Amino acid sequence: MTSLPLPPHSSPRPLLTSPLPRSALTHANGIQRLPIHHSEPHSMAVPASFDQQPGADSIDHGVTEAPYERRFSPYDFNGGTTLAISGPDFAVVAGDTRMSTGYEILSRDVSKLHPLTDHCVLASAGCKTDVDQLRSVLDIRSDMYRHNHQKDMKVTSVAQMLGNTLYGRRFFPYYSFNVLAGVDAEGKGAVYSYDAIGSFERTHFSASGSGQSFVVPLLDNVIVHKNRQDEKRELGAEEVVEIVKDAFVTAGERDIYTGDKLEIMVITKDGIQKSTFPLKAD
Amino acid sequence: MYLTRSEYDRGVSTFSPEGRLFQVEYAIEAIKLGSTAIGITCPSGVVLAVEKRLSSKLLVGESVEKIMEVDSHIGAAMSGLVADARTLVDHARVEAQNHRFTYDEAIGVEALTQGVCDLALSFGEGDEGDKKKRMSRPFGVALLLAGWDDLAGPQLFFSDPSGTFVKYKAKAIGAGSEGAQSNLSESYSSTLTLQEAEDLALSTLKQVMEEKINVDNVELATVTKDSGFKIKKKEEVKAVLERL
Amino acid sequence: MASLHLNAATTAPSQHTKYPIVTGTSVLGLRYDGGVMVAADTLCSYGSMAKYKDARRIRTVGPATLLGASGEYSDFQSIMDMLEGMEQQNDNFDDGHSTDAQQTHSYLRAVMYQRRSKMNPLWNDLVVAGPNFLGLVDKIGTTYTDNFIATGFGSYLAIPILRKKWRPTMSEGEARGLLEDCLKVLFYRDCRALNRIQIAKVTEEGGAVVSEPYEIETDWSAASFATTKGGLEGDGGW
Repeated sequence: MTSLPLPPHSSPRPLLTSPLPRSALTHANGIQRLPIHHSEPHSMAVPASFDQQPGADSIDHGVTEAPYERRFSPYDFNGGTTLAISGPDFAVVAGDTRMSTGYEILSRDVSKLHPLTDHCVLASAGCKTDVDQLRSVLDIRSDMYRHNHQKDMKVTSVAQMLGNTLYGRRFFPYYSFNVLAGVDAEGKGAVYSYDAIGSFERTHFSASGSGQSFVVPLLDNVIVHKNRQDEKRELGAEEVVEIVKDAFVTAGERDIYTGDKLEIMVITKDGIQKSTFPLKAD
Repeated sequence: MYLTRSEYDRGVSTFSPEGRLFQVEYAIEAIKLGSTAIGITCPSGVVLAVEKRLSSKLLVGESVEKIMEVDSHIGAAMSGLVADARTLVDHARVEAQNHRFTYDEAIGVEALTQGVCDLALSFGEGDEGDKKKRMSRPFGVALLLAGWDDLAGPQLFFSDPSGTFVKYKAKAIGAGSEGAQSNLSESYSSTLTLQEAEDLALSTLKQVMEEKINVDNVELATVTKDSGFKIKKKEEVKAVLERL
Repeated sequence: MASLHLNAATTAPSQHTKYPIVTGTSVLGLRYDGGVMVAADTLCSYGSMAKYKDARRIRTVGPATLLGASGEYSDFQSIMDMLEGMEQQNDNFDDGHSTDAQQTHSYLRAVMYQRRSKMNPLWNDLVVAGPNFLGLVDKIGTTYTDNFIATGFGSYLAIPILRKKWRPTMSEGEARGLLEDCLKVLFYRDCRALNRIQIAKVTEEGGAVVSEPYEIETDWSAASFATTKGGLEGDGGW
């Protein structure tokens, strides 16, 4: 048997040994016993340093010391991508339906789109439990608004309320990344982009969530025509829907958290039209 | 059965056997002592007019304020205990600004009126020794809330000390309200122009005021879609009075 | 002296759950033709010690709801206490109303979210099943519903099998066979699993029923268990 090649190091490191006293390593007849905590013959014991580890002199073999789960975290990241694009008299909003945690897919058909009124949809990715909580808070608030003011909330009002609602949890934020889409009082398409603590802005388009970085550059080019010389065309809702599908196919190719199915909603003054489009389920 | 009210008119939280809250009724009586206030709606807006009783020549007329701005699209005219009205208007202003902060839009006139009435109705609330001051009596004031919103256009609401509010096309409150209201009933038309509504408001006031009407002892204000709430300047009031 | 006493009482450190102590491993659930089936073993571990071998981790809540729990067993017991109290109230009202699985699922989400927001979680993944409902709630209030669900190690070892074998038209027997196969794989490879299991089903006609614990047969003669790797000496494991 050849000994394992050792990594170069300046000072000799202590051998990995048993916590038993040295005498116990040797039989009464003088033949060396195998170290109890090592499957290799003693001569092959790998020199190892535990200097950096706390409590190096009492090695935990995963048996004696308690917790194997790390500190509690109130957040999870469930992934997913959302996107909204505004038009002159419509807004298109979309989200994939994959729900993940770590490297696991929890479910392949969980919607990220949440209609708040007949002309306003909230798309959210991030921590699903916070997203669910945020949605029910907003549902209650928009119901109360309807009772108190005898009308549905305008998109502009929902936008402001969402900002306030998120900021209300400034010091224990909703871990949710929101895009709000709808048509405003003038019938124009409206898209709002948010951060997790309520900072918001009305924009031409917005993408959010795990596939954001794949979608945004594509839309900068195709929708906004950034740094392009050729003439920009006004796109109809049908064309925008096709671009949205492409954007999600693009994100789904590289982002493991985006896939399974795409849900698309086209919002006009007449209401919300829903459609779906299959994505890769790998 | 009960010849005197005295047994049941002490507390605001005790009904009389006939089912009446005397303190609230007394508060409503207090309004009838106040100066007359009139509100008239027309398709293009709402007009508010009030009489100012200037009891002394030495009194600075401008310091008597009986029409107040609540928000840029809502105004309030009052009759009764003006000090109480200020509390209500303050509350209304907060409600209006809070709505703008929360929803990025102007508050609806009815919702605002409801907010005022919520406060008006909270008499008798709060426990003894409560940190928040206990409200010992109803407000002794009635308001005419005039405004414009995109839900229902020009609107006029009347709220009284009981916390009730009603929508009116034209309404008079205060000492001269009986005469004024019958005059409004006779002369009101749903097709009035704003100018005609202003004329009707001041001519009605003129009939019921004890003193002779002039630019100093009336206040006039309008709410329109485009200009919102505006208190008329003396020259503008003068122009209306000259038309009468 | 009174103030000293008061002081001692109010400044005592509050206790929050930072990690689980006595834990149950995977719970599996699936829809089949006619109902929903839930399965789990009966082991509760104390760290690596197989401490309680008859811990029933699937319970009924009212007439037609099943609740299966992995994670901290004491938290599950306190959840059951709470739900049983609510069921008792339902019974006392005697108005024919009982909480269905979807409502229980939604309620548990609210409880779990509230506890996680106080940074004092109930350390469980809960599988809730009704005649036409199968959902999960975890320790921070995350929820989803699906045709099949697995918690803990089951999400690694059982989900791939379920993805391959599950069909919406499965009969009750097929469903039970599939769940037993999954639990067998879990017993082979999850060191915190046991071959003593319970299967439960909930249907429209029969309501919720949980089996008595029983042992599943295991076969350790498979090549990967019996032979050593690369001719090296060892215990037969990989």
